[in-house]
Amino acid sequence: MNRRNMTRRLLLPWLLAASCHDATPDASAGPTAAAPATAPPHVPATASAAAPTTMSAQAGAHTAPAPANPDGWFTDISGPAGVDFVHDAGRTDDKQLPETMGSGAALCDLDGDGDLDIYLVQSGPLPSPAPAPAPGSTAMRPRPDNKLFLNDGRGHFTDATALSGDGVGRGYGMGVAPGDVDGDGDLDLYLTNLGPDVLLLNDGHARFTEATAASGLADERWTTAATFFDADNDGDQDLFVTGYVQVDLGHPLWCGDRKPGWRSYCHPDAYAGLPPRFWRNDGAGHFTDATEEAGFGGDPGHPGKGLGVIAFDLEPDGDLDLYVANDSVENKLWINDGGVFTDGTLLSGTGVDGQGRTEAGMGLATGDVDGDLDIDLIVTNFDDESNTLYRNDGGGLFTDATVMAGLEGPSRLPVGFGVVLDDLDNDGDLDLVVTNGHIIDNIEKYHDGKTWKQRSQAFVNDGTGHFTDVTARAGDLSRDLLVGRGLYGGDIDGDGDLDLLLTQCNGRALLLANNGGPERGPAGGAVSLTGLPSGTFVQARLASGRRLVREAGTQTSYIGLGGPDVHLGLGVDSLVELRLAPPGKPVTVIAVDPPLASGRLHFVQRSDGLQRAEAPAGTLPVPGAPPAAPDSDLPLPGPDKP
Amino acid sequence: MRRSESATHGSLAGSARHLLRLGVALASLAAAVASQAGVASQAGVGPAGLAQDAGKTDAEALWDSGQRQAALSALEAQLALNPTDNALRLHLAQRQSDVGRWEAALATAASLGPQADHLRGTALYILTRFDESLGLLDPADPGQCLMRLDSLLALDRLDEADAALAPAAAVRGQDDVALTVLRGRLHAAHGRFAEAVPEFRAALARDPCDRAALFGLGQALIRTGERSEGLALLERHRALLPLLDRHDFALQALDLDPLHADHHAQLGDIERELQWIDSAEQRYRRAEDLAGPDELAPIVLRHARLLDEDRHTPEAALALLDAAFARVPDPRLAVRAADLALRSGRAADAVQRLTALARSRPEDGQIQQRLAAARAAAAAAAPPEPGTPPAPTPDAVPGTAPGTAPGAAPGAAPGAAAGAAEGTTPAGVPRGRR
Repeated sequence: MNRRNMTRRLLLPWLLAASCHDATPDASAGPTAAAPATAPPHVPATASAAAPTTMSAQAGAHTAPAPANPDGWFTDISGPAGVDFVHDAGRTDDKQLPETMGSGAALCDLDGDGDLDIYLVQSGPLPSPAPAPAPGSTAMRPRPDNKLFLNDGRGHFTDATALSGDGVGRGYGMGVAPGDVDGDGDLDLYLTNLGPDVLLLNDGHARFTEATAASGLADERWTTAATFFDADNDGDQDLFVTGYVQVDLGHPLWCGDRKPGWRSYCHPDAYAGLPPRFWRNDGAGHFTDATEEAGFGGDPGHPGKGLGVIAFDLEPDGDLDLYVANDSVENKLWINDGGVFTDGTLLSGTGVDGQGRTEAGMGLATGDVDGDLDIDLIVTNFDDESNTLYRNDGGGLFTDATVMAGLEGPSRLPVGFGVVLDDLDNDGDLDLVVTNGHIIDNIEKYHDGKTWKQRSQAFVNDGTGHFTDVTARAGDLSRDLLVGRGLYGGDIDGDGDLDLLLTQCNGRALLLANNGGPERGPAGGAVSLTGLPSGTFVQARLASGRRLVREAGTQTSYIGLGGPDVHLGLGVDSLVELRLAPPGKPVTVIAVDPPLASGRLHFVQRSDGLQRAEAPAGTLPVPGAPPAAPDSDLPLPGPDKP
Repeated sequence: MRRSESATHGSLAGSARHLLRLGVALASLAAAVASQAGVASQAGVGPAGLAQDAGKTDAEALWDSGQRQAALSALEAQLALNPTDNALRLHLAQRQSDVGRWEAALATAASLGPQADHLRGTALYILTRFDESLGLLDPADPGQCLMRLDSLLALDRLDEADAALAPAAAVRGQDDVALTVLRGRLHAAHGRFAEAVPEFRAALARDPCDRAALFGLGQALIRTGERSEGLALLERHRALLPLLDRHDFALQALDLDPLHADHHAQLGDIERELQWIDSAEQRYRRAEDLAGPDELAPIVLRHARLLDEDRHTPEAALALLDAAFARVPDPRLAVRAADLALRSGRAADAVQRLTALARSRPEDGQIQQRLAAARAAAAAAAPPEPGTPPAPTPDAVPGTAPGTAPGAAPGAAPGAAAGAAEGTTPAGVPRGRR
């Protein structure tokens, strides 16, 4: 990546928008390109609880071929963007299992200015099983802080950790779940730890105060994944937290050969599992342990060992169901019925892979992979297990479609963790990126076909749910071998495509700018929907008649959260109608007139439904519009950067 | 014996797990690869000199003693001295594949001709390079024909997989369980659930614990409208999963260290729970062969329980215990033998055994308790004399009930009987790990 390319990337939306105004409709470009841009077919609302709202927004169409992209799909901009974070796993010679699992991160707007900030979880020295050394003792290494980076709206970040109050975190960190627990309009943070979890309340300006005990929350176990979601449709954010395993740091197990350099990390089977917990919010930010009452406690024999949780509306029936990825034991699908959950694992077929085998589930993503307007599910797994794509067949049934999707072979050898399933090339279907990295740092001693550091992978969707491996053209995403853990998608610079944040275990975090596609720039424009309540089920109708289904704010990947906005890649199509279904709320149907080929639509929840509103001050620039300011003030990579 | 090698999180045996899923036994795979190596050697691919043969023999001795890495190093050193010895090269590649070093095996065999195709095919399959493996996997080989089918499934080349079924059946037999399951999977992949149902049923008829068949049948039944039967099967599958997973992991541990006696014994335990009695007994026997003096007794105790409770041959169990006691005079063996004798109605024999044992362990309360019970039982078996109170039954003595380990008796004092618990895990080595 050189300065020229960086500039081109930043200016690309503007250039495309400019070109489309001059473009002459070309019959060869297909029906979408030939559709009149100013006279879209109006699609009447058929199941609306609210009258259609006609909306105008900046229109555009992208018919010009995208320029070639010699740098690959993604470029590492961590340095120039100001994101400097190295995870410290606190590795020891004892091969303690927690050293292998961290850490997570969140891409979300923590200071309320409308752009995506970054919160990164740190681990540091393992909690000592012995009495703590005296303060100031050289034996006590200070625990490094969690990090908060605030976005200036154009993808440049400032380290705001020092001003974040209790945002520095405490304890040996694992993951993070953002959510507005007290209904004050800003995102609070729940931190999972090896040890006591922490709830941080946001004052709206990314300054945090710990409120764990005051909120009624208390979990001192080893927890990993967590998600806020409105389980009972009462308008507040409930909390689900996965427990992992019980470790005794004072008596570490020995696994592997007793030869120098051969000690290894033990399999989770060597430890007792910890079950999940569910906390119900009273609306004011006070939580009650409702694990039993909500139905999650009815399976005492279930060993837990959870590493992933994601909320999605699988049917969709207006409430959020829950899927939990467990390590080496059966995964769980919990069906929501008015805030009480029943185990839908067996019927759905999602507890094991298509051959009935348990897998070591870690990362999770949901989305309509095959364009059939329902939500499919992907789970990343250990080596010698493929990642598993569960295709939603309707009626609560899923099929392991990994083979049909072309994902079986490429994912059998790596250890998959973070996963993003989103439209990364703006062509209207969901692509897939996965970050990989083994647990065992000396795995090559045991299996020389395997490595601790592994290459992240990228796959493009052909629109039918079949993926092509484009890892070789994924640029900096896949250039180096990493110990990948978290992977989160979001448009950090407001250029209309989804960028990536990647975390490593005991390594630096990577912020990866999207160059549009594996070979060329983006296939087209995109419309971003912001401000939607978490879990909102979105159906979009395009000018061509094509429909897209997306969800807002639920993509937890591996122990974190990706950008909550809905990203509608449109290719050369344009948006003409939206049907928005927040959990438990009436459907709002919005006609988009004139059709929108790129841009941003911001929404707020009113008593009578979702309504469009002005984006927060200081928000990201609207894709398709000229840059708000010259990009010369952006830090750019030097010409010698590879 | 080494006892430190517990399996790690996703160890080398991960690849073995995949083979096992296909129903390809590791031993048969190794034998197949070894057989190829032997054929190559006999064909004069690389005549090795006496010195090389000696080196190879040394390496094999290391291998047989469990020092597999050292054996590999020895073979590598030999090959460095004799780089044109193709038989040695193929042998090294085979040994590398035996320990999961598939990439190294491919590299070692790179200069070899078709004699290494069998190994290459397996290695490429394990390394998920399915496209490349297909041209090398031998459809006439019992293991590789399954790998071919699985590769075609993984590549979503379902029609080719269909066509490969008949040749595979000719090799493995029409009723082969692994092949039958693959047929069911293939039907399901095509969406032909009604046709998948009888295949999975047939597989289950031959192996009621086949997890792929259980899950496949459950799912296929649900999709063909037989929801209640489908869910019942899926419940059964769920109940079996932990045990089958333990079995997988125990196999992986064994693959990591095949000469560790307890790995074999733990497999025996799991297979006994699965009611795979023949296989479990073989595992115990192999464990007994490998066990050192401090490892033998717990294994024999478990084996004896199998003979008594599953085979219903207490005499064989007694003979096993006696033979083991002759090898290692562990009092736990004698206690169990006495318990067995007593329960078999041979109270006098039990008294004799326990009396001898009590002489050497006069302070062991458990033994004294048992001895009293045995004497009472012997007395009860004799014609009652007028005025004699009824003798206590053996079950009145803690730890003598069938299926109860003597050491499990509440409040048992430390001693021979208390130490007779089975499945004792060596200190510092976790059980149930991979």
